[in-house]
Amino acid sequence: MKRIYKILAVIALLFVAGYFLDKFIPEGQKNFIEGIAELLTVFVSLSIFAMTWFTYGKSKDNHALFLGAAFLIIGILDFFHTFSYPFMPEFITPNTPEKAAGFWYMARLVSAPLFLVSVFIYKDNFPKLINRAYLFTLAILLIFSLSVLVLFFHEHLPVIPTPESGISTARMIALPITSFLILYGSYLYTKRVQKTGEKYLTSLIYGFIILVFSDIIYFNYEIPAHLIKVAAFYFIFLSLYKSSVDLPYELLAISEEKLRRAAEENYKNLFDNANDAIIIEDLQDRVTSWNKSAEKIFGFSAQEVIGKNLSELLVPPQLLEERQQQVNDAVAGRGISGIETICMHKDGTKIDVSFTISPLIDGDGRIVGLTSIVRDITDHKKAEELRIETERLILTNQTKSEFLAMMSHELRTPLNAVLGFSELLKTKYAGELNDKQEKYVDNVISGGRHLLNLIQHILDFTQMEAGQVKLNIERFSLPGAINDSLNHIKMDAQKHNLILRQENDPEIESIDADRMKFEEILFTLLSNALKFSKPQGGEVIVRAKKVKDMAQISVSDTGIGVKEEDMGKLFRTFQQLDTGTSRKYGGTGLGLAITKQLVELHGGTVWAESKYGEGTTFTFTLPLKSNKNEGKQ
Amino acid sequence: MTIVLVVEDNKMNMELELEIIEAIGYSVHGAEDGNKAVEMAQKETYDLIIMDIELPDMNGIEAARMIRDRPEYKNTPMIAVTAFAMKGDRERFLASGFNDYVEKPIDVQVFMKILGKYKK
Repeated sequence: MKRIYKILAVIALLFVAGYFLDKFIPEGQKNFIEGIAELLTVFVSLSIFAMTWFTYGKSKDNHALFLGAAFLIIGILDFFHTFSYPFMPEFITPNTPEKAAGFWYMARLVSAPLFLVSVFIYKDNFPKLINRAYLFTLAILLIFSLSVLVLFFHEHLPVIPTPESGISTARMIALPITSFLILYGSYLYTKRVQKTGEKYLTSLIYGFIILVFSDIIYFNYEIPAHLIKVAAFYFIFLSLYKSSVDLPYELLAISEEKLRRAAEENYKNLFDNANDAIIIEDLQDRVTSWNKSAEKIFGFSAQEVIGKNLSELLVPPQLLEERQQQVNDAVAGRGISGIETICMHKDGTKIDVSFTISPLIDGDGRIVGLTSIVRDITDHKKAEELRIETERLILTNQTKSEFLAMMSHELRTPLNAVLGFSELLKTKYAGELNDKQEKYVDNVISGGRHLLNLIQHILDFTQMEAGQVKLNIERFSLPGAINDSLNHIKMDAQKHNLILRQENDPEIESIDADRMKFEEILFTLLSNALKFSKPQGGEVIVRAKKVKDMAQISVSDTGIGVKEEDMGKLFRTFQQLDTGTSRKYGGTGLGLAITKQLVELHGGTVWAESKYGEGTTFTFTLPLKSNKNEGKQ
Repeated sequence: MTIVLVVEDNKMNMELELEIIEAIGYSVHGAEDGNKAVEMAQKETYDLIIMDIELPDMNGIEAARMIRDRPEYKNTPMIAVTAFAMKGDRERFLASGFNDYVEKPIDVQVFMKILGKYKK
C-alpha cells in the first residue's frame, strides 16, 4: 500500500513538473523537451526488448519474451513517431503532425491488445508459438506494415487527432477502447497475481495503468503526459527486469546454496560416520580436524589434539623418520596410500593401521594442508595371524596322519615275521612241538596280537582326536544289532560261565547311526564285561530303552566292579585301573577312551555306575534320528 | 604245478611267505624289488604273483602294472600283501588291479586259504 502512495506521489510530481515546464518554457523549446522524453521512452522500450530477449536463454520466460517483442514494436513505432515531428529532418516522407500522431496511435493501438494477450501467457506455455525467431519475424512484419500504412497512406486512415486538431471522433473511439483493454488486462493481471503469487507483475500493472493515465491527459497536458509515460515504461521495465534477470539469479543462488549445503552435509556425514579416522592437518603437521572415528581409534578427543603435532601424538619414536619423509612427500604433492604401519593409542598401546595421506588442495590449486585417512587393522591383523596359525595346525595334522600311517606300516612289517613264523610253528609244518614249546609259541602269538591291537587302537584314537573319522549313518534295527553283537561273544561268554540276556524296548525299532561303530562300542563294553567277570560266572544284560529322542543302551555285569576312587579314570587313555590289571586282563587301555569318542561323535554320552565287588553298568545314549549328519566329521 | 612269484624286500617276510607257499605245495620264486620282478616275469610265466607295496625301487602297484602289461599276464591273479592297513587301503589296492588283498601281519590260516583259491 505504501508503495502506491509513493508511486502516486511520483506521478503527481512529474505532472506538476511537466505542467510548469509547459508553462514557463518558450514554445520553440517545448519540442526539444518532448523529443528528449520520447527518446527516453524509446530507450526504455528497447531496453525492455533487449533485456527479455537476451536473458531468455537462461530465464526461459515466455511471458517476458512476449512482452519484450511487444515493446520492440512499441519502441520502434515511438521512435518513428519522434522522427516524424515537423521540426525533425524529413523521415522518408514529408513530416507532418498527422504523420507523427499516426505512429503514436499505432503504438498505442498495438500495445493495449498485446498487453491483454500477455495476461494469458505464463513463463512456460505456448512453447511452439513463443520463441525468439517466430516473435521477431512477427514484430518486424507488424512494424513494417504499420509504418508503410502511416508513411504512405495516413491520409486514408480515419482522421488522426493531433494536439493541434483537438479532439476527434477517432480519438473518442480509440482512447476508450485502448483504455478499457488495458484496465481490463490490469484487472486480469491482479487476479493472476493473487492466484500464482507472481508479485513482480504488480509493477507491470502499475506501469500500464500509468500509461492509460498518460494517454488520457496527452492532448491537454502534452509535456506532463510525456514525462509520465517515461515513468510508466520504467515500471514495466522494472517488472520484467525482476522476472528476466533478478529471479533467475535468485533461483541460481538458491540452488547453488542448496548444492553447497548438500555437499557440506555429505562431507559432514562422511566425516562423522566414517569407520576410518579422518584427520586434517596444516602444512606444519598440526591437527586442524579430527573425527569421531579418530577419537575412537586413538583415544584422544578432538579438543585434546587440535593444534598439536600429529607425528608427536601418534607415531612411535622409531618410525618418526619414516613419517617425516611421508609428510614431506605429501606436502610436495605425492600422497601415500594404504601404508601399513603402527600408531600409538593414547594409553600407549600399539595399533596396527593402514595410513593414507593426501595433500589438501584449495580452490586455487595450492597445497594448504594434509588429509589423512587411517584405518584400524588390528582385528584384520589378528584374523590374518589366526589364519596362518590355523593353516600351520592343519598342516601339522596332515603331517601327523602321514606319520601315523607310516608308523603303522613300519610296526606291522616286523610284526608280520613275529606272528607269521609263530603261527607257522603252530601248524607244525616245521615239525612237532613239545608242550612247553607250544605254550611259548602261544605266548609269542598272544603278545604279538596285543601289540597289533595296540597299534590299531592308537591309530583309531588319534584319528578320532584329529577329527578325521567320518560316520557312515544308516538306519538299522537296534534289537537286531544288539543280538548280532551278543552272538559274536557267545562262545567266549560260555567259557566264562556267563549268561547273556537282552531286554528290548518295544518303542525302539530302528536307529540312525553308524552300524560298524555301534557294534564296536557294544563289543568293547561286552568284552570288558566278560573280561572282568568273576571266576564263578554270572550274567550280562544288555538293555535298550527310549529316553526322549535318544536310545539309552546299557551293559550290566555281575563282575568284580570298580572302586569308587577309580571311577574317574575309566574313560581316560592308558588308565588301566592298577598296574596288575593289564597283565592280568590284557587290553590296550584305549578301549573305553575310543568308546567315549565314538559315542560323542554320534552326539551321545557314556557313563558308568558300579559297586565294587558286585558289578558294573556302562550306559550310553545315541540319538534315534540323525540330524542329517551323514558324513559329518 | 602252480608257480608263484613273491615280490618282497624284507628278508624275514620273504622267507615267511616262501615257507607258507611251499607248505601248501606250490613252487615259488622270490624277487626283492620291482625291476627284478619284472625281469623274472619275462623269463618265466608265473601262475600267481604275491606283491608287497613298499619296494625300494618302485611301488608294488607300478610293478604289478608293468607285469600286467605283458599279454601272458593279462589274467594272472595278483595279491597285494602289505603293511598298508589303514582304512581305505584295501579298496585302493583292489581298485588298482589286484585280485586280492592280505594285510600284514598276515594270519597264516587266512593267507593259506586265499592261496588255495588260485591253485592251478
